[in-house]
Amino acid sequence: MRLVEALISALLVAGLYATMSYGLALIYGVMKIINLANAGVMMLGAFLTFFLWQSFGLDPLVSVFVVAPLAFGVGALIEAVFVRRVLNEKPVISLLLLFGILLVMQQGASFAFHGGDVRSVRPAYVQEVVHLGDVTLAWTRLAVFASGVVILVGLELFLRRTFLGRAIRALAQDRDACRLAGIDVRRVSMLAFGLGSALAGAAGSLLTLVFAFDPVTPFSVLQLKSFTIIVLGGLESIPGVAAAAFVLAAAENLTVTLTKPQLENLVSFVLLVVVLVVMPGGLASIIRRRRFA
Amino acid sequence: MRKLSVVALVAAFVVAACGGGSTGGTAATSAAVTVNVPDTVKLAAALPLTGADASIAKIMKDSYELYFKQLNDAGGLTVGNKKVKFDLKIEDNKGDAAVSGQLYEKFITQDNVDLLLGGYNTTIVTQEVKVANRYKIPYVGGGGASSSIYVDNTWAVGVLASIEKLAATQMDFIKTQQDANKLPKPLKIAVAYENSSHGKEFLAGIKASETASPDRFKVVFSETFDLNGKDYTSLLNKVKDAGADAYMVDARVADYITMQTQYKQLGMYHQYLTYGPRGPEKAARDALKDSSDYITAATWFDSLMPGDVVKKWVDNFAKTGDSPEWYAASAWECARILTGAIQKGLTVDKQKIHDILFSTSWDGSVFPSGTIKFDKTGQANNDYVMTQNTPNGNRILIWPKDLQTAAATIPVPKK
Amino acid sequence: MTAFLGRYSKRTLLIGQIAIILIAAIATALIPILDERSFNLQRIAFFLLWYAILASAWNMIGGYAGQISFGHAAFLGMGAYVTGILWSQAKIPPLLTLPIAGLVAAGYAVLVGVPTLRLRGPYFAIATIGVGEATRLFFVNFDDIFGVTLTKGVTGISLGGGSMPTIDPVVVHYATIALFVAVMFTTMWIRAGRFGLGLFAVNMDRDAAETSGVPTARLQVIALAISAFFSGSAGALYAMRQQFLDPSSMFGFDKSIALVLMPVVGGLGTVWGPVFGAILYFPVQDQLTRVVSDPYLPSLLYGVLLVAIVMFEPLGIAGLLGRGTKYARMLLLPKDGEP
Repeated sequence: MRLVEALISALLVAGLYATMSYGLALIYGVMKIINLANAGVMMLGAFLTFFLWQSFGLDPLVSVFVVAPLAFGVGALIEAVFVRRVLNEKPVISLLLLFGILLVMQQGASFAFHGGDVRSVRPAYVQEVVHLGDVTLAWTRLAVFASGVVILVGLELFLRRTFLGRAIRALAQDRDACRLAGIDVRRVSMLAFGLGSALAGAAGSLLTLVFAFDPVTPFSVLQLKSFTIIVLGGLESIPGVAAAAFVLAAAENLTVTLTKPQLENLVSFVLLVVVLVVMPGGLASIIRRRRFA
Repeated sequence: MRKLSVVALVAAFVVAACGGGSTGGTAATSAAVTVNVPDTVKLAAALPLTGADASIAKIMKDSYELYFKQLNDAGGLTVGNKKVKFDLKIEDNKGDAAVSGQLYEKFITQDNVDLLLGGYNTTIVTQEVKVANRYKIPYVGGGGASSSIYVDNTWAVGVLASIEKLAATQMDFIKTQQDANKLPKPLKIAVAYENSSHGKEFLAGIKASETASPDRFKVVFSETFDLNGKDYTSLLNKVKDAGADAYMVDARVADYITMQTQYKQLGMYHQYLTYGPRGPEKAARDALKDSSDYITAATWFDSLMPGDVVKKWVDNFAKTGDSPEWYAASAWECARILTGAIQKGLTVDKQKIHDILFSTSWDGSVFPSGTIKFDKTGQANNDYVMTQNTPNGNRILIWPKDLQTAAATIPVPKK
Repeated sequence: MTAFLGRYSKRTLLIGQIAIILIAAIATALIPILDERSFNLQRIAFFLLWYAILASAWNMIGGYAGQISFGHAAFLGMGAYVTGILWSQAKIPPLLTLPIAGLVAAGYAVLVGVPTLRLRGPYFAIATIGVGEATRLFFVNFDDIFGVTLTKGVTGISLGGGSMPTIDPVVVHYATIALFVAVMFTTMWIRAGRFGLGLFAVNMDRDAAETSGVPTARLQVIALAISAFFSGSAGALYAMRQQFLDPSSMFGFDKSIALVLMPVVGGLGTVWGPVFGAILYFPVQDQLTRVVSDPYLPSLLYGVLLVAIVMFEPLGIAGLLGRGTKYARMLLLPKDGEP
């Protein structure tokens, strides 16, 4: 019974993990760079949500619709002004660039919001629970999970049914062929980066319902979990990310339930390193080619 | 002739140094004694003004600053026949122990401060105390309670009693409830403690009581958790499984808020619930609202304590606009004791101040029992006062008997 | 004429650099001798040298080998804790633990490096973040995992008191100077020698290097080990001087970030870049709080600097200075005037 509860709990958290990882996977797929600033956008999204809630009483689930477009804009801007210029250099350069941008976001937020005070959003329903048989679930977590599912479905539909979505997928597969096919590679890249950031921003909004936060925690830890997830899940497939998110969440929950709670984060990092290094066969060969080539 | 006046001088000094500590008193010596104090005494402290403990640090900062502002506005501290002003510098250590250590070192070597005031949070305070010992300069702190701070310490003193005593105080209170048939005997206890010396000492205090009275207490579950955790549901599920009567936790304020929220979300219940010294803080009460009702706590000070000294302090502290939490009181006490030592010794000489700090009983304190005396390791050992949160954001004092304002509601009412 | 001058000027440059290093070393060594109570100067000297050592050590793997490590605090902390534990538990005089700390850190680097250095750029960097955090958590939970009292977890280890052997701070001061000289000579040797040549080759194009017969994996692991050796030794010195360690300060991500910022801002892959980076970093961190009371401003400025450098002058301060005379270029830039 406890095991079932742990797995359900994992499922709920996985929804959040997945949402924050889609953006990372999308951007990597299209531009082959790791967007270290993903966590920064998530953090800014969370802060914006907090202020909207504090000033206007706006529910985070509604704020998503405000935050996501803004995050899209920020992402597109970052791509156009900064990332675009270093795309042709060694990957290390774009890594350092995005890291610098992340740093500016984090320290800037600490500076602007008077220090890394811990904030939390506590809407009226924060204590509400739902009972499923023997299992008690927090309403907030269910809401976050449901939002995650909606986002997943929406994203998949977008990528498969719309022209822009298909262009993005095409760009992820073969950049040069896209040029030949007449796709405006630069514009699509920018839009993809924007979309990835919008997803991160949305994740930040949802996160406020579950965790308390300051400019640094828990985003750096969550960012690392995102890396584990996208590598484990396969950078080509969004559902793959969702599945990997669940695997990670389950691993964490089981570790806590079966052994000591304090090892929860250690599991994520060890998994990250192991996954990166070992990377069993069976995953898209494209990943292997990109990483070890 | 000369020799006689020298002897008189020394005798006068000895008399002054040995007298019982009274902070408001005038100097016991005559004008023949030279006052070895500069016109402005320089003090410094580092606090975690940003990070998880920022709200606590802000209140401590306000307390320090109010104390010295009022002192300076009144013309300064009367030391012998002169008035001495104070220059207090407070910097932000971002909640990082290494940064704080470097800041204190900078205060000492670059700013040439005369004496040090303490910061907050056991790990950070331990590092700060280390620096104070390395440079042999007195440090008076009110932000760390773990005994591990005082290991190999000779130069620092702290006004907070140990965490083991905190746990023991709660266990004593529980005994009275068991005798009144309000709690079962033996009481099954689940303990969750933060992964630090603070937490470990909490558990040790509880276990000591268990060993002493095995017919009364049984620890059925004990596990540690990481600081600044975000998700305690797995831990809480394990606690649920343990089927205990009481749940006792040692956590920082931020973790307390997170955990209690999730505790309620899981629909958990215990007859006795405590988070160590956390619970009555206004910030936490505002955040948790009725989810924090009936939680008991043992703290070093509470503004509801009876007596004129406490009332006067609370009224005065209201000038900061902050809630009069225990850490505001402990910061105030540090400032009071430090200036008292200067006043007593007519000096800022580090060795002399050190001796005065350790040898004096500091009366007129707002802490329980009204007197603070540091033991040979530098830690004070005052009693705790226990509180219980009551509905509508109120609380009552439940222990010890002479401080009690109302009877405790034990067991916690089921919804 | 220029060829003739060329040969001499290269040698002069080398001698010049060695001279600068030795003069700096002697000058710093004189501080405690000339004025015993010059604590502030000694403090500043220690941290300047210490950051220079760490930045240069990082540069060996991050700059020369081109593998960005975001988890270098793991090696720094490892060395610090080795000294801390040996000093507090086994009561070994701390100075003797210095080489052990370095070697353990180097060993750990080999352990971690062999599997991860196969990864390309961004993946290695991410792996290092994981390693850094995992190491921190490992040290926080060590005692509970193994049921001992060794690292004392979050509370930290207090050193130098009780029955532990004492160490004179002046001795630590000299040890730091010696380590600084060692690091600088090592980094100059790497730049000038075959080992460094191999590293540069791998950095520029790993596949081409492989096909040319360069043992890429082995070279990179060795570079990481050397880098970790110095980082660990620096950690040990920190433990000896500050006499208090706790996992979140020693292994924290903040530390790892600082270790990246200094060499990158100063000049990635150059000999003197990391030193410039340290000179810029420490005083700003230490003194800026006097001018502006916000403690986040220095890091914010560094973030902006980092972006600016990546976009406009990838060789940082060294690159900026190297735009000057021909000699400046030869002195500062990685490979005899070529970036």
